[in-house]
Amino acid sequence: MGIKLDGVIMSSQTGAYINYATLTTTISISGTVPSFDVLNFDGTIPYGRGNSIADVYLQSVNGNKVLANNMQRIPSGTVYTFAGSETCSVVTTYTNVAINIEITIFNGSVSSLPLISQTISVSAVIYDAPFSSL
Amino acid sequence: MVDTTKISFATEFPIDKIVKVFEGTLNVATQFSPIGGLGSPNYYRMPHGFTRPVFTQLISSSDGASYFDGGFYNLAFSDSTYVYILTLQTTGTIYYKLLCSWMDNFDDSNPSVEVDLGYKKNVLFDSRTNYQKIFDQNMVSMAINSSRTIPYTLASVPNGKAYFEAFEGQVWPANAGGTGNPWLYDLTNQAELYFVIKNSGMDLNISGGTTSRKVWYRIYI
Repeated sequence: MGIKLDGVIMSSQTGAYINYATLTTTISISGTVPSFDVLNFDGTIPYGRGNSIADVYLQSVNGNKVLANNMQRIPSGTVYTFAGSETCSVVTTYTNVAINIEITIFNGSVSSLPLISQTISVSAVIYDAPFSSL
Repeated sequence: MVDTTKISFATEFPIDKIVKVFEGTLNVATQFSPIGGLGSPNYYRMPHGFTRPVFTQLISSSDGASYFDGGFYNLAFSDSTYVYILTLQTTGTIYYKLLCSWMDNFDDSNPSVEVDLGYKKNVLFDSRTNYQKIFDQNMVSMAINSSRTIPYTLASVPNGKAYFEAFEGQVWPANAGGTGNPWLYDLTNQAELYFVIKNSGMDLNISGGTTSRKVWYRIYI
């Protein structure tokens, strides 16, 4: 028997993103990126639950927030303050013991690039997703 | 006044409804095909069994141990028939875990659907746990290269997600970056979307494409 889901608040016939935990860390960005090189900045959120899934948000000091999932490149004017023509990308990795967030700054110019020092807050909304391995 | 973020659920606010779960392994060399022209990502697709697209959330791995978010090596989207896994890999194995959730406000059809979670669990809801509540959700149509703000008044900056039509009829998670975006393979017809969640509203920014596109947003508390 089918079910109509539009406008339904919740349904016992579907799974749900159980809000298991919201954990945070910060990533401090500073230094100088050599010409045609990268600098990586990492944040780790210890989390002893293998293969969970999370919405990972980056937030700047002015409060702007972006969802890092699926957004490999961080656009200008969002949460990272650009010093020049560098690119900013982010990737989130899940292991059995932690969620790792890595921000990579790439300088594609012929001159080295001093970065604007800044701190980005990271919050991971971690879900007990209905995977068979959990 | 009840702090809704601290309670399991509230009948005032909907929650995301997961209607399908895909898990498995794929061989890139034998099961994937280019989705566009030379240099475009490779794709594999699976029927999801519904008559409208679904929101997709993917994590994937090349070794079955360390998983990445969608958007790094792989990305998932859907249309009215299939879910698609895109990859930048040309060889190797992809271990994937893909959640599909229901799109309220997709159209006015409100179809009757059979939900197949693809897993065995006896308990779908547990009132001891907390569920993320949808404060606001809707679909908006956005013109080419335009921006708009979804306003709200909340005590703090909320969380949120947005999906959009990268191509008409295809629902992608927000991704952007122009020529630096590895998922942009059709510079003429493909649109990109990014969003910023601020204290007073969610800013939606769409670029590219040749026609207006639909954007679906969800703001969570």
